[in-house]
Amino acid sequence: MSTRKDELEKKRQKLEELRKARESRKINLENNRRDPIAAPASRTASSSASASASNALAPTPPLATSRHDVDALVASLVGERDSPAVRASTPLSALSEHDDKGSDVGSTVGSSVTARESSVVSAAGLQTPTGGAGQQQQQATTEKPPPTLTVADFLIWDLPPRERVTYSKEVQTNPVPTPLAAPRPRRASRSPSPTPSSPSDYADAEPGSDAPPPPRRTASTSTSTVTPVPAAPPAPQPTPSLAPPPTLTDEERKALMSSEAFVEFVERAGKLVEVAMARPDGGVWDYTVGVGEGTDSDLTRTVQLSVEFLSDRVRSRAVTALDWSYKFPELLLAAYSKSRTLSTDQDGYAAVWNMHVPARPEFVFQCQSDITSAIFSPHHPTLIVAGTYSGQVVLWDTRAKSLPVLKTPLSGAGHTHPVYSLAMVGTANAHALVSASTDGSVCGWQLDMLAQPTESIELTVPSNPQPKTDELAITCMGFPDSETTSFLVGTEEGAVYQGNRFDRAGAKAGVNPYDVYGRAGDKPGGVVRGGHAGPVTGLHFHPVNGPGGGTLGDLFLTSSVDWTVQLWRAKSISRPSTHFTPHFPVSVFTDFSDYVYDVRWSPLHPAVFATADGSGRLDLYNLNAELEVPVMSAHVGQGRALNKVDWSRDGKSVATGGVDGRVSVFEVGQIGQPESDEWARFQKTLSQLESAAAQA
Amino acid sequence: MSEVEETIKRLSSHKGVEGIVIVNSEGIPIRSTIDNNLTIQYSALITQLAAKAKSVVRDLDPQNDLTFLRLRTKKHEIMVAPDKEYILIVIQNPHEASS
Repeated sequence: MSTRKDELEKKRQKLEELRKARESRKINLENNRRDPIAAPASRTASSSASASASNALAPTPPLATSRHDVDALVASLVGERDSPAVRASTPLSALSEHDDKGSDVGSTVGSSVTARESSVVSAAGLQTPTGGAGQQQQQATTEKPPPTLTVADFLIWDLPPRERVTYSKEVQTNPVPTPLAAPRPRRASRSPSPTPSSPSDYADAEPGSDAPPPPRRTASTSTSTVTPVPAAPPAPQPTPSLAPPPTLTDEERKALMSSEAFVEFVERAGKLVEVAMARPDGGVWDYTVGVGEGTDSDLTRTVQLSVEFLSDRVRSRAVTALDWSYKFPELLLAAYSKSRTLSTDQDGYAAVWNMHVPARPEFVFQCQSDITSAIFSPHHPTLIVAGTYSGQVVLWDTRAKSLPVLKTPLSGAGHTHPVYSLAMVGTANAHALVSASTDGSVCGWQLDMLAQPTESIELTVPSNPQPKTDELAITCMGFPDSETTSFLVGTEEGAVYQGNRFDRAGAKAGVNPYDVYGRAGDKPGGVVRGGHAGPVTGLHFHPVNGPGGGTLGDLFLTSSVDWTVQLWRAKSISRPSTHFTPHFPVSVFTDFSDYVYDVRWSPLHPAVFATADGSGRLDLYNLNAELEVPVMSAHVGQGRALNKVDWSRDGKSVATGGVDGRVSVFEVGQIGQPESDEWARFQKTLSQLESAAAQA
Repeated sequence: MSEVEETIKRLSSHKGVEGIVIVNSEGIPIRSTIDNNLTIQYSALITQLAAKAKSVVRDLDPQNDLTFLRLRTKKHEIMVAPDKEYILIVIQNPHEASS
C-alpha cells in the first residue's frame, strides 16, 4: 500500500515537473524571440523561473515561435564558422540528457527540451546547432542583420515571340509570262519573296532596287507563283527559259495517279476532250490556210453507214433494244442480252452511246438478269427504264452509278415472265409506264413507285383452240398515238388483239377477244389473205405528225417470223365488236427471205418505214414510191441477224442492232426526206391499198 | 492507274493529236506524252491562262464557271479541260484531224 502511494506521488511529481518544464520552455522561447542576444541570460533565468514553478504564461502563438526560432537558427547558420562537431555533440548530449527521465533538474530538462525543440523546428533540413551552440554563434555574428528569406511562388508565362510582319514593296500583279533574256538569273534569285497574286493596279514601283524591266520580275514571280507552298522554293536555275517547276517524286506521282479523284478527273476530262475533238465546230476562219478539201456531199440514194458501235464487252451479246434519247439527239441507248461467253459483267447490260464518240459508251448500266426491252423516259432526260428476262422492271439514272436506281419486286404483284414490251404513255405531268410480259399480264406503273404496279391485268382469250392456256403470250405492244389506255398486242400465235387498261364506256378492261387482227387459228396451206402465221415480233403505230395526219393514227405495221410485214388499220377502239370479227391487213409485204425481227415507221416521212430481218438486211420502204419492194436495202455487218431497228428522232438516221452486239447507225439521205405533198400522196396510196384489199 | 493509261492512250490515238499533258492546280505536270521542256512550258503557261480565263468567267457571272477552253492557232489546237484540282491539256493538229 505504501509503495503504491509512493509511486503515485512520484508520478504526480513527474507530471508536475513536465508541466513546469513545458511552461519554462514556452517562456524561454518567448524570451528568445524578443531578445536573441539576451537569450542565454533569459534562458537561464527562465529556466530557473520554471524550476521555481512560475506561473504558466500564456502560450505564444506557435507560428511566431517557430518563425522566431527559424530566424535564430538561420542567423546562427549564417554566422557560424564552427565545426559541425560541436553541433553534433550537443544534440547527442542533449538527447542523452533527455533520455534520462529520472532527472528532475529543470534546467537540464529545459535545455534538453529546448534543444529538442530546436532540432524539431529545424527539421526542415538545416543542420542546426543546439541552443548553446547557436547562442555562441549568435554572439559571434550579431553585426549582420539576418536576411529575411521568403518563399515565393513563380508563375511561368510562355509568350510566343511577337510576330513581326514585314511587307516588301513590289509590284503585286499577275505576271504576264514572257520569255526571259539570258543573263538575268542572278538577280532573279535575289528578288523578293512571292506575294499573293491579287488584282491590283500596276502603279506600285519598287523603291530601292533599280527600276527592273518587267520581264525579269515577272519571270521570277512567275516562277514563284508556280512554286508550291509545301515544297521548299527551288533555287532558280540559271536557265534561259522559265525555271522548271518542282517535280513530284516517283512515289508521289504514282500515288497521285492512282487516287480516285485523279482517275475520275481523267475520265471526265477525257470525255469532254473527245467530244470536242470530234466536232471541229469552230470552223476555220482563214480560208487561205491550207485546209483539207471537204468531201462533196453526196446526195446518194442509198443509206450510208455513219458510225458503228461495237466494244469488247458487248461482242458476245445480242442487241435486244434500241432507243434514241429525247433530249440529246446524239445519244443512243442499246440494251443487250446475256453474254454468251463467261463474262465478269452481270447478265443485264445496257449502254448509252454517243454518236460522236464510237470508241466507248457514254454510260454503262448493269443489272441482274438480261434485258429484253429498254426505253428512254420521254419526260425525264436522265432516266432509262428496262424490262428484263426475269420479269423485273428496272430504272436507271444517268446521274447515278451503273446499278439500277429502282427495281420492281420479283413477286406476283409484278411480272414473273420476260417483259418484252415497255411503253411510256401520257403527258409530262400524268404519265405511266405500261409493261407487258409473255404470260399475258399487263401492268401499269408509276416511275417513282416501282414497288407495286398501279394496275395489273391478265389478258386471256377464252375459246382459243390453238394454245393450251387461255393466256396471251405477248411479244409486242403498241399504243396508238395520244392514247393511253387502249393498246394493241401482238402474240406468239400471230394474232394481234386489242386491249384496254381500264374499263371504258363500252369496253371492259382486258383484251377484247372479238376484234382479232389476223387469224386466230391455223389455216391449212394456201395463200393467206392476211394475218401472221408465226409470232409477231414487231408492232408499230404510225406517228402522226404532219398535215392531214388525223386519219393515219390507226395505221400500224406488224412484222413476224413468217417472213412478212403487214400493214393494218386498227378498228375504232370505242366500238368493239360483240362477236368474233377477224380483221385483215391493208397490205402484206412479202419481199423477205428471212424472219423479220422489227419494223418502224419513219418519224419524218409518212410513207417510209424500215425493217430489220434475220439475214442482216436493213430495208427501207417508201409506200409512195413502191408498194411491194423496198426502195433501198443495205446489208449490215457480216450478215448476222438484225434484232432491232430504230429511227432517230429527227428522222435522218436509222440505227440497227444485231445479234453480234453491233449497233450500226446509217444516215438516210434523200429517201427519208419527205416532200411537201407526201402526205396527200400517202392518203391516196392508202385508199388504193384498201380498195385493193377489200376486193380481194 | 490503268484506266488513266487507257484513257490517255485512247486520246492520243485520235487523228492529229500531238500530245497530252495532265497538270495539277499548282502547275506541276503529272503525266505527259511530250518531251520535258515542252511539258514544262505548257504546264506553266496553260495553267496561268486557264486561271485567267476562269477568273474572267467568274467575274462576269459568279454563278458561272469555266468548263472547257479551246485555243485555235495557226498550227495547232490546244484544248484545255480544267477542273478543281487538275487540268487536262490536249494539243491537236486540226488540219490533220479533219481530213
